[in-house]
Amino acid sequence: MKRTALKKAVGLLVSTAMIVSLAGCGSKDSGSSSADSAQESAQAQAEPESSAEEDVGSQTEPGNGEQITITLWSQFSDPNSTDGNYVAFYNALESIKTDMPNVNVVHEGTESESYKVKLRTAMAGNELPDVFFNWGAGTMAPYVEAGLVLSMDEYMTDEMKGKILGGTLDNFTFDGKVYGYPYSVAVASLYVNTELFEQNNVKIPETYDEFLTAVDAFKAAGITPISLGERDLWPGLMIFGIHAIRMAGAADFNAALNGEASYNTPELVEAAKLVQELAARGGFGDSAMGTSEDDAVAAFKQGRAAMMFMGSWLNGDCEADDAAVKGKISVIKFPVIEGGKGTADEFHGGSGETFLVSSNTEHPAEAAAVAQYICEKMSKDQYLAGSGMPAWEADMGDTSELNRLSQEIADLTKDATGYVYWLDSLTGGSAADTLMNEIANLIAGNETPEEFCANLQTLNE
Amino acid sequence: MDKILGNKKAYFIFVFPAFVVYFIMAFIPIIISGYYSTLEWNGIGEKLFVGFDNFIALTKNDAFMSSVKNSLILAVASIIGQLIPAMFLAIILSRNIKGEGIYRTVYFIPVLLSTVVIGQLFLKIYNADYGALNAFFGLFGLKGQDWLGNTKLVLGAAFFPIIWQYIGYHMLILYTGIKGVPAEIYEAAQIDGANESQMAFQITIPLIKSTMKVSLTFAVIGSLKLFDLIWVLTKGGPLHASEVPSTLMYTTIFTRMEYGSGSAIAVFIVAECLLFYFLIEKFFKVDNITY
Repeated sequence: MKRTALKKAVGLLVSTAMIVSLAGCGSKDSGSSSADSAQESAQAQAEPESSAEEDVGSQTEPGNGEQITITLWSQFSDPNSTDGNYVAFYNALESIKTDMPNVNVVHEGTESESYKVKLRTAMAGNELPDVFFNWGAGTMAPYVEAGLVLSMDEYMTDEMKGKILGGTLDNFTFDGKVYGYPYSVAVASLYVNTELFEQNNVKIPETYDEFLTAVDAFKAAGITPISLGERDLWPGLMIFGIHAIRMAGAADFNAALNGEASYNTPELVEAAKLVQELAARGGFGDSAMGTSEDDAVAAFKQGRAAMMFMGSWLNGDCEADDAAVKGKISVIKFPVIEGGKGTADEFHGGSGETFLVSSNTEHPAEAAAVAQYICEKMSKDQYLAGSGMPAWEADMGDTSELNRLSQEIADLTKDATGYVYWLDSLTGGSAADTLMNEIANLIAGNETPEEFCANLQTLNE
Repeated sequence: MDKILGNKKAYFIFVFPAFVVYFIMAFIPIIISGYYSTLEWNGIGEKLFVGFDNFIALTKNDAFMSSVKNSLILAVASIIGQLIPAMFLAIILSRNIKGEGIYRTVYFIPVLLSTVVIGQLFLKIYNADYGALNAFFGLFGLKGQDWLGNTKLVLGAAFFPIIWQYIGYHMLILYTGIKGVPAEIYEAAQIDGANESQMAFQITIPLIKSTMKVSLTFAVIGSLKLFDLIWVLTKGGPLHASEVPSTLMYTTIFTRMEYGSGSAIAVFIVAECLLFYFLIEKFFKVDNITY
């Protein structure tokens, strides 16, 4: 008997491989037994990442002219989601069947993080769909520079221009050309749990000092003062963003972000210092660095945290039926910081999500019309669903059912004088990644506010 | 049989299909990555040839250096934390103990679970607010920790499930090797009065060196190219404290849009794995034992 131990191990591997390949044959056989399932599996192989795909085109009606198929990709992957943007998107997808009967829209939704990767891959391979969801400003700039997206100037009528609310096109405009239509204005505000404030006899803050007093009071009472999911990095950007807006003012901070001014200003150093001090006094609880955004939202929803500084997409979560805090949340303007240049009417947020048209599309006019239709329709519906502010003028009809917090935010922002868009979307790519890591370092206390600003300034040099 | 094995044409026919698949799926991407690593490129715009600048920049990149350090720590921790317990279990299981099959299956279960499942499980265990680990410490009145949020604790916390998961895998490889040692040798040793530990150290371990080398190679290479569990648990954070080269490669390419720099990390990972493979081959010489 002659054998080596290794031979046996190899034998084990070979037999495993055989079992796997047999299993592979088995599934193929059962697939070919019925034509339908074979087709299904072929589709599944062709688009393994699509988590929600549906063919929403209307059936060809005689006399309706030629049917055109428009492919559409979005990050709205779940048709059953209660997120306001998802609801609005699927509404638009449904109504486009009747409103544009000659266009057959084939939609493919992919979850946000995978969506970004999928889009990049499609761009590298020149396989973009006709219309696709995208973020504006810095995220979109490389696509425009590479000539991958179509300008909407040719298709935008004066009627449309009249309906689009002022400033909402800024993040989609490059060299004076508009590349996308807006569909929402998302605004960040300070969400406060009024019940916890009352129970602990804390005044809802109107000044930054009162804000710090509230932080200390909740900290002493063992309640997380501000819920922050810093594990995902971008929530920290919003905290620094609003401090920078309050200290430097929206105009100056925008100039620094666009590389037209320096980050090395006393105001921004002071903003960084305040964020660091806020973290050091336990403003974000003990475990912000290891908390994901989902967990941070859950903690706020369950009434375990007193405040959260977040975008208006949080409205739906706060008013959801399963939220312990339903009806107890109020939104306020982030307090003004004494000595800062910013006012209470300058906001963090803006309009920055859109649908773009690929420059390779075979039907540019129809694709542009589809993008425009979805954006205008979503603008109204996502507002009614309690997500963001509308970006198009529209008759809102009966707003009595509207999310209470959305109405409060609409009131807060009606006199807005300036906006700074989300820092990561605004800067895009490596600059966004650097910003996020620098702010995480700042919050963790790994660098001084001066070092922080100097490191940010390297982005502008 | 000898006729087939002696026929070079038969060799070619059997090997060729696998070679083609391997060449297209593994070899070409590595070569393309090598080309990308010499570019400054955001994936869609213009490609700018920069030679070895990406590699030079990596040596000055703190996040990259700490990611390499972390992966080497993991490799050492895997050798100690996986191979020693795996060897111990394999030796015991192979001694025809009662319930051998059940134990073998139980220890192998973590290997069968998807890493994402294990990652989610440990995310819940480590959670600072409601995690099982902090609840356990709470029982003794100890203060809980933010296991995955503390830069000093995160490495240990993230490596534990990685090491734990594959103990069963190495146990099975070593167990197979031990089962290949003929029973007569042990019988002879027993007649000579050898006890269990003498048999383990004098017979089993020397005779399964070639299997141990397989295990060692898998443990080291697996640690150097690890991605999935770290990604699920921490995404390399906080502050790059649990970064390994492959997670850094992913964020460099898909978050920072630096295809050149990310490809340079990919090339580094390939080179590092090959280097360690050859080192193990060179310093872990094994005689081909036949019984």
